[in-house]
Amino acid sequence: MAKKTATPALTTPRARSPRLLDRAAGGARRVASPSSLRRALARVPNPLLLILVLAALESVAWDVATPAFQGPDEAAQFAYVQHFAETGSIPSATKGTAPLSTEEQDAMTWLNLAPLVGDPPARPAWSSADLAVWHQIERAMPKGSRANGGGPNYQASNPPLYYALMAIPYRLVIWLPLLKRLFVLRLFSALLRLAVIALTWILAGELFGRVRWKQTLAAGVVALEPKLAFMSAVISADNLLVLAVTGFLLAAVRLVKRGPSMARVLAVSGLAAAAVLTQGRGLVTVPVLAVALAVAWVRHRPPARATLLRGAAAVATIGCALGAYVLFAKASNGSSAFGGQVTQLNRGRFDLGQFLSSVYQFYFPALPGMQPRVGPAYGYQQVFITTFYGTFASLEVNFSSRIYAWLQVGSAIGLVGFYTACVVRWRSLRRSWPVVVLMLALLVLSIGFLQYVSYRALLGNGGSDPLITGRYLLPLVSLFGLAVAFTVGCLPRRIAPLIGAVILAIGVLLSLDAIGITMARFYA
Amino acid sequence: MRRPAPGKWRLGVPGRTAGLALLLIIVGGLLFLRPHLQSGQELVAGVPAPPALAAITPFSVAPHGRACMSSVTIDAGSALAQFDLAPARPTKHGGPPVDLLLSAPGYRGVVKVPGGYPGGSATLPIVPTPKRSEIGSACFVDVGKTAVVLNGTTEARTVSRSSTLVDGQSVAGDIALTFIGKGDRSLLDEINETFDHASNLTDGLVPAWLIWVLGLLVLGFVTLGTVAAFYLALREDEASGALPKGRPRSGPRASSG
Repeated sequence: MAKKTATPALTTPRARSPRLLDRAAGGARRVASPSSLRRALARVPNPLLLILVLAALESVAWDVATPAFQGPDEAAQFAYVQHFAETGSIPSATKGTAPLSTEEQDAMTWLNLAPLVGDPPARPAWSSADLAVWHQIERAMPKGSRANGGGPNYQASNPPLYYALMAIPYRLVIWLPLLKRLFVLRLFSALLRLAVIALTWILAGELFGRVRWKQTLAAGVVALEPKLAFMSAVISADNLLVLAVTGFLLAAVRLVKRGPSMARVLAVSGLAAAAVLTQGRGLVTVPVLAVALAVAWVRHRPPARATLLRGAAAVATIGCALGAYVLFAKASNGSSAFGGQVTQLNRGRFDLGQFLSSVYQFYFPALPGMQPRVGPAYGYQQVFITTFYGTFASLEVNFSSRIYAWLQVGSAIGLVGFYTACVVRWRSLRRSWPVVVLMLALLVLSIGFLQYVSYRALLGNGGSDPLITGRYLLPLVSLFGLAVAFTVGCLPRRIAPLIGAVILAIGVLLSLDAIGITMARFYA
Repeated sequence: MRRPAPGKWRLGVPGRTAGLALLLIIVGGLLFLRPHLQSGQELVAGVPAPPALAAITPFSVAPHGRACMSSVTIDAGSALAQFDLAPARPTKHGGPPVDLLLSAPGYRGVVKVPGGYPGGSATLPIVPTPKRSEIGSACFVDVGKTAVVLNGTTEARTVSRSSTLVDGQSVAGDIALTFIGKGDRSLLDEINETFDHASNLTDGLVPAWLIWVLGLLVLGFVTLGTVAAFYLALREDEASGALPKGRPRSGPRASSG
């Protein structure tokens, strides 16, 4: 008989209540009619509802503050969505004569949006006179001006899931002029962030039990993470990747806590497949899925037949996803699967010693006798601080250096606090080892994968571009929120909520400042 | 231990925590955000052609020659024109005088650069200032006896929509030109114009007044919503026993629900 004991939550016994999340999620399961929607909304806890509303407002503000196509690679990402929605096929990564459609290219040119990308002194053509001429240009466009951006599009190496998903709202608002259409599309993309925040709340409940302030802190940290808020108002596959990985983490936590039922195995492998079909970086969920299945097996020991059946289901789900994409790419005359993102990782001679030295020097100063790290002076500060908390638009909008310095100090204190909390709660963590192993696997494999990609990229491009940036850490943002809530939750009870309040207050200030400096960069 | 009198209002953990968060946000806002909004600075009125990011391209104009850019937006509120110029050859008399002629339907303006400059950035008044934004042309006319070089760009990343002609011949790239607003003004002084610009880039989908509403909502709701969410969460935990209630109190609790 398989063991059915649930893994304990990472919290004090008094605070445990695994029912909470079932209730929160239960409402969402029955969204069929307006009345059931009202009932579902009524079941959403008030703190979460407030966080979701403020996060939605933030996303709208970011949408206004960021002119069209000024997010990272947004012009190419929109071109992918547009081509897919207009023609039903993915653009080519290497072939073609028009990376952007005539409509998009003309907007980039006439509204000076192309020179605006990444160039701080530039401003868009923002007057009503410019807009009036743009309307004339739009009206005079020949038929097919929206559908002729077939490539080469460097984002076409991405798998199509996000773009296929965004093609639905695109078709719904296809009648709108370009700038309005893009604005509305961004709002649809921002819904993905709201789901990430809600999933983080549920994850926190899964781990800490029904302790609302910890759930609020975890979800609030995610909602007030300025980079995630900015990215939510940009057309980017990263938004779906963050959601897929967060959903995957929640499904995997439930898998290891409650046991590998067929439904849970299908859910977790389906979400891993979604991550794989969203972005090349989603491939990291595949080894984490293997870890989750292994941990669930060790923890719950299902019978051999069930093990084989469910393992096969997981492999088949991932295999089907990959196969579907390869077939789709061929049928669409697109690029190869992941457009070389995987094969790119195997270019150049891999030297384990050099790689380990490179990783060491990413975090610490070189030891005597160590060969200098390949590439520019680029380390944890740039990835984990500057570009994780800040750096907006196309990398040119930044917080002041003083703010980054304070964020670095705060993060270091947080890291020491997290370590101390782990030591203090060692027994509780040991009891919850399946969840701990799972989360560690996601963290270590994700960061290891990014380090590996960066190292291979530096070998391939002669050390000019380390490739990785803080944006690539956003799929781990729920882990970040949970780590903050766990660390603060381990403080003495009299001061823990106060420290939580300080963290949220800092998040509010950063969020407002980020929107303000971006608005000033583009429109003042 | 002194206990509060019955009926006397007293803050619990949720209230104290929410109060601290609100206080920090207000103090932090006053310390960090307000100076940012209120500091005076040269505010950009428009950038017809931005400067090069890395490789500056010189555009040489012969004596009595002219370099013209078309499709230039001459923005309302432009008081100064900013561009880089230098004598084509170093001379002891410095660079030649140059006129920048701005023309658009219903508007003619001029920016006069007196001769004798060593070279560098010039920020000079536009006479008269445009009353409304119009699309027209900007012509640099060398009115001296020696050639002048105007800095610009041919970088694919920074070239703007303008077409450039030097002495009637089409050339690749643009001469970098920026219009600056009147005097040193703060972001708060320019907030209406800023919101107008943002509204235009949404194609009017979000009118300027709605950006005002949105701005106030974001300011109020991100601040108070965060505090309220944490307060409600703590209240719920206090009621459910997940949070210690601290010292017993005799006065009525503020709607402990």
